[in-house]
Amino acid sequence: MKVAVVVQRYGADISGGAELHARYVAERLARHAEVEVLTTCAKDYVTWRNELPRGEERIHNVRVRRFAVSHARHGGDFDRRSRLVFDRVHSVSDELGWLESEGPASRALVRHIGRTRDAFDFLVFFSYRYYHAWHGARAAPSKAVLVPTAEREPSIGLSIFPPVFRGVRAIMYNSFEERALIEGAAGRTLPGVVVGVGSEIPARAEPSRFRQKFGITKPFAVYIGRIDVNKGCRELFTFFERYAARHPKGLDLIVIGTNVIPIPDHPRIRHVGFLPDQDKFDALAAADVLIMPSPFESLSMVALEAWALGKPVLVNGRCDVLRGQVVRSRAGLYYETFDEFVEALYAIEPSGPLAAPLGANGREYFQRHYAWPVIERKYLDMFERLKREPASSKMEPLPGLLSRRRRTARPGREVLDALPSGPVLG
Amino acid sequence: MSDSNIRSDAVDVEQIMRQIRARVREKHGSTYTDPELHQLAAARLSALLDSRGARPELVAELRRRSTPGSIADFREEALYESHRGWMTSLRKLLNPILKLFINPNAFARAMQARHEMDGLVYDVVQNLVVEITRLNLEIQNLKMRVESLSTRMDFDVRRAKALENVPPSRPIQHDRPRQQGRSFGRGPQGAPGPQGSQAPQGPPSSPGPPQASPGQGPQGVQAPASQQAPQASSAPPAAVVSQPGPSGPPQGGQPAGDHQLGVGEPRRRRRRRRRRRPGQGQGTHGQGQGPQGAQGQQNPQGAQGSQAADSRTAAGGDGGGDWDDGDEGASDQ
Repeated sequence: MKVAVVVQRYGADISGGAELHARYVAERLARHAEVEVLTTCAKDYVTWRNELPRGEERIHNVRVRRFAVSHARHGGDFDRRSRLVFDRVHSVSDELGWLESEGPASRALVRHIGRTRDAFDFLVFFSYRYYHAWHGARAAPSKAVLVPTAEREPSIGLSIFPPVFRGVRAIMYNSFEERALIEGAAGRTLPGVVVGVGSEIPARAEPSRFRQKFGITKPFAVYIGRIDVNKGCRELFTFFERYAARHPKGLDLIVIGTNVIPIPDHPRIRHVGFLPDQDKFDALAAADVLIMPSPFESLSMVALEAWALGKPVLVNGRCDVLRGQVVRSRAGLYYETFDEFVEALYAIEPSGPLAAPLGANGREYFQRHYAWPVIERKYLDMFERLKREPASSKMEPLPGLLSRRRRTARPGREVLDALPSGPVLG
Repeated sequence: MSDSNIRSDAVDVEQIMRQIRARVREKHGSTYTDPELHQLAAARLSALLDSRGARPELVAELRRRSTPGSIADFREEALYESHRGWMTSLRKLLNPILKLFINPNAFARAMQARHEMDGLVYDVVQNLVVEITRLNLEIQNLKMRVESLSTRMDFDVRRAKALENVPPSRPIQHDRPRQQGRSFGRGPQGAPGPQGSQAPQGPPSSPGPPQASPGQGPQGVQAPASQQAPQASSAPPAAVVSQPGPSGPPQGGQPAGDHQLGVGEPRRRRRRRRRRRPGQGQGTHGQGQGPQGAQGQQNPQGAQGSQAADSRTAAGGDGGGDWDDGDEGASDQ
């Protein structure tokens, strides 16, 4: 079996959620099939500038083929187009213009997919909202498997995406909430399975090593990820400062990751920067709880890693996916207000009765649903099933040139508001 | 959550969150989620703008600040844009001539700067309104807590005063009859002491016969301790020690819940006194009551069951009454 993994960026040092997800899946599937990664020369997800060389290379024994991006993203233009398609009645043409502007617009990559699609059994496209996935899936619909990594954001309300959701062979969801969202946008049930992604958990994580290395002696909560407003970090800092004032002997906060926003200068908040994997896992093992304040997540890999190490997780309850996961896993708590944040953090503290059972549940949940053998099996079973069954639907063509310019598409935000929300608990 | 050995499979996150929310509500009154808070803030902002007589379209523009085509979207190219494509091209073509007279880019830059400033001001105003709304709610909650605490404090003060006015009703230990007798003899002047607070622990097991002798109080104050001691010791132990017995006080007409506690306490004390009275004689009984001799009327009522309950209700001192009512009723009599 020959499988192509098509993703916007790819590299051992690229740590974006979807990109890491793609790399893990490619490396794992490579044990069972011939895998080739088709990607762009971009490294920066904001500009999509060509930074890496075109052509072939091998990363962790997987063949990677890179294609040049036709043009970098122009921030102002993209913002303007985003406002148009998200907030106003617009046309399909406007949406296509938005997709082109968003990037990474690599026509060479799409042409290659169209040319070589017969050489692959399946092409696994990551991140539905980017140029490569939309055009790529339309270039090879009968072999397209989509890993949408969808979040609750207005782009899911654009009219160009539902035909792609309905036209691919199968969708590999990250969570039940994502499935509900995408099926709501597509308007019907779609062939697919909730898979998620595993993680490379080291055999031994040493909490003492982390404590020694960074001179940390007190119990602490940890945040791992990009330190950004969109990730809920500003709210986290505000909440934590108030929590620290209320609980002088409570937990400290260790922040790991690259900061986009300033980190408050507070004696109980400490930023240790971006850490290599081993240090990250040591930190997780040393922490008492992981805090995940992001309101938009399709799947939090770091939460899964915390559970794998038996640590409870405190998540933002406004994120349907995270809330659904902690409720289903029984391995964490969630908050929506400051008072809930304080009470929940207090309840999870190591001296409390909840920390141990939540951690144990997390470990079990990870083993049952997100251990690599489980994930690999789900992918392989899906491929087998798709080989046996004929395609249930065809990719719908784009409207004609004139219809495309008719301003009849509803604002993305308006469509999003009407889509199902809330955690899937059943 | 207080259980220190919670089993992993017994964890119910939604249940825990319900408990957490209940605890938060208990501490801070009702809580609002951020969207609810923003809704409240939006309503407040609307009211504020309406009261200032702001133009509705301006308000709408303020809310729609990120709408494309508005000032928020102003840029250099916008100077030449037209819904007719050829017009846009023509304007751009003639731009060098326009630039001979004025510098259109300066306009564009100024407008852009203004737009950024407007956005900033709008954000600041909106955040301030949200923060004010949040603080307002917090103040309301704190006010409610203060009110509730002051009510409880008032109640406690009144209760303490009432307890001070009630004579100690029973001895603590069987082997101290002399002290018990003395405490009875002191009437209302005697400090309530620990007995007073222990009195409500349980109802008397067998109420004594009705004895009412109001108006004899002053004699009791002067009664010698030697006279009272044997009388007190002759009372049956069951009546002296407060123990819940099978034949408790009549419950007819007694309200349940919190009121019951408040009303029941003085009544029990009175009954205990009554049980000692047969052995003490009328004079002694009256001596013990002093100015509160009126209690001698209530005791028999308590002993007479439902009939007594009816009369209590008629007097307005029981039924739905509280501690103060009962106490005042007794004083009036």
